[in-house]
Order: sequence, then structure tokens, then C-alpha cells
Amino acid sequence: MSKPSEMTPETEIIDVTNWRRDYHDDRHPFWWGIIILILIEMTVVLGFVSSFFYSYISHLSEASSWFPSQPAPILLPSINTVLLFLCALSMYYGGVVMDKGKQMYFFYLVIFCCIASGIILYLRWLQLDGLPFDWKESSYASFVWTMSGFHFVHLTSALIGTAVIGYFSYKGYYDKERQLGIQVDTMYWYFVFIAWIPMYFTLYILPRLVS
Amino acid sequence: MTDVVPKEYRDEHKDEHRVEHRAELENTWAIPSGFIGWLKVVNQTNIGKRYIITAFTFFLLAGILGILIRIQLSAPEKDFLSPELYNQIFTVHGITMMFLFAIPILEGVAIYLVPLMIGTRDLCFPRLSAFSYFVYLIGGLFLWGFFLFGLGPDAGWFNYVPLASKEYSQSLSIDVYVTVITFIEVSALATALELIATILKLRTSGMSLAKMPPFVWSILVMAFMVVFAMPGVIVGSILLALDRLVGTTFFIHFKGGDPILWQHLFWWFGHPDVYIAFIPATGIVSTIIPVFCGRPLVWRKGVICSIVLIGVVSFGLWVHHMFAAGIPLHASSFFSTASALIAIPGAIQFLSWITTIWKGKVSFKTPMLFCLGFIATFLVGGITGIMVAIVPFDLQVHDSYFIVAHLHYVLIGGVLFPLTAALFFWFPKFTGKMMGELLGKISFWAILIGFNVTFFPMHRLGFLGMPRRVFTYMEGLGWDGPNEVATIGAFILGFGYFLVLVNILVSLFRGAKALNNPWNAKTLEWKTSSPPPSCNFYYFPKIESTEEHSSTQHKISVKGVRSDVREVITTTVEEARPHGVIRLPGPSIWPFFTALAAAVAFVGSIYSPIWFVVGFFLTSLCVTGWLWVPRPWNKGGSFE
Repeated sequence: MSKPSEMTPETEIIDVTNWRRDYHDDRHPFWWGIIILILIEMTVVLGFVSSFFYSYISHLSEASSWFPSQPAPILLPSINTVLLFLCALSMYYGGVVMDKGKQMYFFYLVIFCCIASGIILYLRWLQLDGLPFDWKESSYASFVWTMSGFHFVHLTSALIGTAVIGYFSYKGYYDKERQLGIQVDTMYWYFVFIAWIPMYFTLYILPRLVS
Repeated sequence: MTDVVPKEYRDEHKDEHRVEHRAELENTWAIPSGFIGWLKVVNQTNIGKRYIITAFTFFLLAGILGILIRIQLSAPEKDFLSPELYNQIFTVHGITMMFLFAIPILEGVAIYLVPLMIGTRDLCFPRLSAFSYFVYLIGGLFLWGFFLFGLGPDAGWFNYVPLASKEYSQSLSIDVYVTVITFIEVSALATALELIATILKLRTSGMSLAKMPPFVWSILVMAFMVVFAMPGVIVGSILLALDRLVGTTFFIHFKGGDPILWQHLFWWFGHPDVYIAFIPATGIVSTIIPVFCGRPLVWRKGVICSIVLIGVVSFGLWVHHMFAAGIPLHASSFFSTASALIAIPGAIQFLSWITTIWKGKVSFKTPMLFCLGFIATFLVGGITGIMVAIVPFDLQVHDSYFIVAHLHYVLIGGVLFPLTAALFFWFPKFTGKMMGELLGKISFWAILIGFNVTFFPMHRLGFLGMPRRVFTYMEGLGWDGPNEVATIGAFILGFGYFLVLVNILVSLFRGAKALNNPWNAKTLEWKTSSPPPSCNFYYFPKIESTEEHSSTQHKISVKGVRSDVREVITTTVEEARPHGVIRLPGPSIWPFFTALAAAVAFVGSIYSPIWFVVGFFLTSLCVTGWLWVPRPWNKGGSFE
């Protein structure tokens, strides 16, 4: 098998007969595709966060505060932040153990990730159910519901995707070299975690800092 | 066919029957037949043509609406259209031209041509391109379906709040706008994603970024712009949809919202959107002019840098649409300067084209005539653009017919003329037939004259104070004459495009057979047959020159790529050195089902939010089916 370092433009004809067809790094366009998807999604997140700040700033000169007297409770979102980190971390280590060919360990990590994300969804549901305001009350309330809901949808799709990965893992599809799906799912989890950070800051930390 | 196959290819396959090898490749990449097969097609040449035909159909429909507008305005106090219908017609005209024609047709041209220009066999996510087409088609049909049943959007293509809020627009027409537009933008984003990945990873060996054709550069920049611009209108539409459907308060001032937020979100998308359409058009012109001048493009690097610069700077201009909305002085100054600044890279391109023409031996074929028409008309649009970038001038002509004239000079001059040039130029590649040259030239003059007669008088109408979006006007304001002339021009313009349509149909059935490279062009798509085989190329060519991609004696770059499964080479991002082989997925019904499921989510939410939930889970189910890896896993199973 030819190695990339040998593939200079000067090489007349490269024989690819014996090259592998499964890649899970930047040789595969899917790797690039998920990066671009994350870029699109992050731009949407930025759109929400910018809209939040625009609305906040445009009412700064008014006498009453833009934030409600009782902002959204912070305990459950904080627990969720930790759990989201653990989900992303478990998928990262999933890739590490799969690189070593330990398929069963990977399967256990996927199970952990699915359970943790299920808990996050449940806590998010409780959190929205217990909010001291509904979405019609103020612009801040509308942002809390909308951004949390937006993240909820992405979390659900990440859970579904990870469950499918878990199924294929259980059936023995993935191995050391065939793990593109794992890498793609892991990167999506990174996005789900990272996208939550600015939302957590704007919706839950900022009102407390300002007040 | 022997003229398109290099010696190395013949040598590689000398031990087997070469014809059989080609037949196997064509069979592997074959397009399925029948109605169900039509729903399963993923090949880029087929999807690209579908995009082009669908977008051209929407263009003709929106053009008819334009003529209806002109009939209504041809004389004062005319009652040809009711005010309510007029509002829907000018809104649907704008939405169709921007969302269903300009961007989709350019994406269609890109989907068809990019893989051919970079020497590969398909886009890297073929099923995604099928999905994006169905989303686009379904979205367009829904929009026009609602319009035909009297529920077309009616608050202008930029749909400002508070007019578009529930308080002032109670019918479903604005809900149609916010949901269907978001749905269609999903299609544009999916296409942009795969164009970027394809251009970065599937270029044939040796086609480094520096050797990439200007058209492919323009598509790469356009796709990145779509990635960063479209989320603006998506966020805005989601917020407005929620305001209207469930009673959130994003745009209601006394509840902490702000109506101006909509303008920011819309124009964050809306202004780059003009350049998203214009940049590929400059790529088309930069491809066609050198061919008909018989010489390379002058200062090719400068043109490519300008394409990138325009793409970047266009994100710093959106507020120039909002000068009249009460923008702080320092912000107005910044956006005014940025708006004028974009003229610099634009001028570099103009100088390059003019110098290429100046130094070349010009052949005045129809595609070249449309390029010359582009240079003349877009120049006017560009100059009036500089004028409206100046705040005091903008405040005088804001929302007047001067703006209507300006935007049509930019969009018809800057996008439609190059697109028509592209149609005449690549029609032989698309169909294997030449378009009629005489009819082409007649249609060019009809279009050029008709366009100027229609839109030039609108500058004067703007100066005379005629506002946009009025369904009629009083006699004696001095507006009668220019409006009458503009209406006559609209009919001439419409006649010009009718001739183009006739030319297409006649050429399809009776046109002269096209050679592989009838224009002696240099880009790689002309190296394969007209129309291309289902696999595009029988071999992966090696690129050694910056300009002469089609005329060099090609060497093949790789061997050992299997012909019984859909395999392509992946290469490094910058230098395009081969470093992998991947298998692309074949025909599938799942993209169609996924598009239908997504339509349930988006269109259903016009009536109730519960449909979004239903559509979401249906879409998840379909995506799982789409990505399901078929057994046996050691033979061609592949995630897309």
C-alpha cells in the first residue's frame, strides 16, 4: 500500500488497488461535511445569542430591567452542563478505545452516553416545566424557551444518532479502521456541548451578573 | 471517443476489453429508470439538470408576475389587479426570483459543472444533493400552491415586522413565508455543504487551489457565504414563526423585543445573498470571456482574490439597507464606507475582463454577447450602488423606484445576463446539442433593449418620488410616461426570454450535434463527451497546467479504482495529492422520503406546532434509513 508521503505529484501513476476504502479522518469528505454542518449550526447559535444581546442592549436605556425579577433557575442547567461534558468525553474515549480495538469498551461508553443524554433530556423537561414564567411574558422568557428548545431538539437528534451507533457497535460493524460513524457522532457531541456554553452563559449566568 | 482517452488509460486496460471496462463503469454509475427510479437518482449531472429546469420554470412564472405588475402600473388608477392581489404578486415575484430562481439555478449549474471541472465522478454526498433538490422542489410547490389559493405572502420579500406580525397580518400568508423560506434554505445549506466538501476533497490529482478554475473558486466562495449568511434568515424566520404561532415576543417592543432585530437578521442574509448570486456569475463571465477572446484571463490571480474579497466584505454591508431605520451616525459611516469599499475588488474584475477583451481576438458568439451585456448593465447597477451607499442620497431615494431600478440592474445585469450566457455556453455539454446562434443573437438584442427600456425609466420615476410597492398612482404626477415606457419594455424583455425558451426547445429536438469541445474551451468539463457519460470520466486525469485543463495531453493520475462500485479518489486540500479512495452511495429512495418528512415538520407547523414534533421524528427515522449500512458489511457498505 502506498503511503501519503510517497504520493507526490511527480509520481506518474499511483496504484490504489490495495488502499483501504474506510477512513475516519480528514481523508474522508464526511469528516469535512460534519465540520461544515457544525459551522452552520454554530452560526445559528451565534444568531440566537446575538439576537439576545441586541434585544437586551436596545432596552438598556429604559428604567425597568430587561431581565425578570426572578431569572430562570440555574441548578438543573448546571447539572446538565456537567452531564453534557461527560457525554462528549465518553464519545471521545469511545474513539480512543476503538483505536485500540476494544469494541466492548466502546459499546459500554455508548450506553453510558445514551443514558446520560436521556437524563439530560429529562432534566431539561423538568427545568422547562418549572420555569417561573411562560414564553409570552417577556423577550427574555421567549429566548429562554426558544434557545433551550433549540438545544433540546439537537440533543434528541444526538441521542437518536448515538443509539444507532450503539446498535451497529453491538452488531460488530465498527472496528479499528471502520469508525467513520463514531467520529462523526463524536464531533456532533462536541458541538452539542460547545453550543450549550454560550446559551448557558447568556440565559442563566448573565441575568445574575447583571442583577 | 478515443480523443478523450489518454494513452495510459488504453495501456492500463489493454489486457481486458476496453469497451467492457467502460460499459461496467457506466453500468455502475447508471441512472435508474422509471418513476420510482426518478425518485432514487443521485447522479450530479441529473440532479443539476433538475435544479436548472425547475429554477428556469420558476423564473418564467415569476417573470409572468413581473409583467402583470407592469400591466397594472402602465397607466394611472388602473384596476387590472386588486390591491390585495398586487401585494401578493410583487411579494411572490421577489421571493421566487431570489429564493426559487437565482440561488437554486446557480447551485444547479454548480452541481452539474463542479465535479466535471475538477475531474471527479460525482459530488461527495450524492444522496444529500438528491435530498436538497426534493426539499427545494417541495418548498417551491408549496409556496406557489398557497399563492394560487390566495395565501401567498404579501409583506414584500423582506417581510418586515411589525407589518408581518400577527397583529397586522392575521392570515396564514406570513406563516407560509417564514416556514417555507426556512425549509427552502435547508436545501441551499445542504448544497453549499456538499459543494465545499467536494471542491476541497475530490479535485483530481494536481489541481491545486492555485490551478483551480475561477468558476470553481467562485462556487467555493459562494458556498461559504451561504453557510454564514443563510442562518441569519433562518434564525429570524424561527423567531417570527414563534411570535406568530405561539405568542413569543421577540419583535414586540413593550415586551422587551425589537422590530429592528428582524431587519438586522434579514439583511445579514439579504445583502450577502445578492453577492451569493453575483459571485458565481463573475465566475461564469471569467470562464466565458477568455474562451471567446482566444487568450487567458488577464490577471487571473487578481480576479480570484477579488472573488474572495467580495465574499468577505459583503458581510459588512447589511446595514446600508437600514439607513432610514434610524441607525446611529458612526454605524452609518462605517457601513457607508464598507459599501463603497466593495467597488474596489469589483473594479479589479471589471478591468481584468475589459483588458482580456482588449487584448484578445473577440468572437461575438451569443454567450460572449451576453457577457458584454453583463459588463454594460452591471456597471450601471454598480454605479447606482455607490450612489445609494452615500447616506444623504440613500435617504432621498429610499423605498422609491430608483431602488427598484438599481436592484434590477444589479440582479438582471449582474446575474441573469451571465446565467443566460452560461445557458448558451454549456448547453452543448448539458444536452449534446448546439443552441441556434441566429435566434440567440436576436434574443440577446431583445433582452438587452427590453431590459433597459423597462428599468432605466425607473431611475427617473424614483427621482420624481414614485414609491415602491404602490398598486396604483394618481394622474398628473409626471409618472405616466415613464411607467408606460417601462411596461412596453417589459413585454420586449419577456419576448426575448420567450425566444430563448423557443431556442432551447428547438435545439433539443433539432439542434446540430455538439462536439465534445465546440468552443475550444480550456476547462476540464470539455475533455469528456457531450453529454458526459454517467461516470463523467473513465479515468482520473492529472492536471499539470493552470489554464489548459482540457487541451493538455492528459496522463492518468491513479489506477486500481474499482469500476464495479462507485469509487472516487480523495486528494489533499491545497495541492490535490491523492491520499484516499472512497465509495459513494448509489441510488436511494430515502432522500425523497426524508424531504417529505421534513416538509411535514416545516409546512405542518403553519397549522400547529405538533406537526413539527411529528416531522422531526419522521425525519429522524428516514435519516436512519438513509444512513443504514446494508449487509454484507465487507462489500460496499458506506455511510454518507
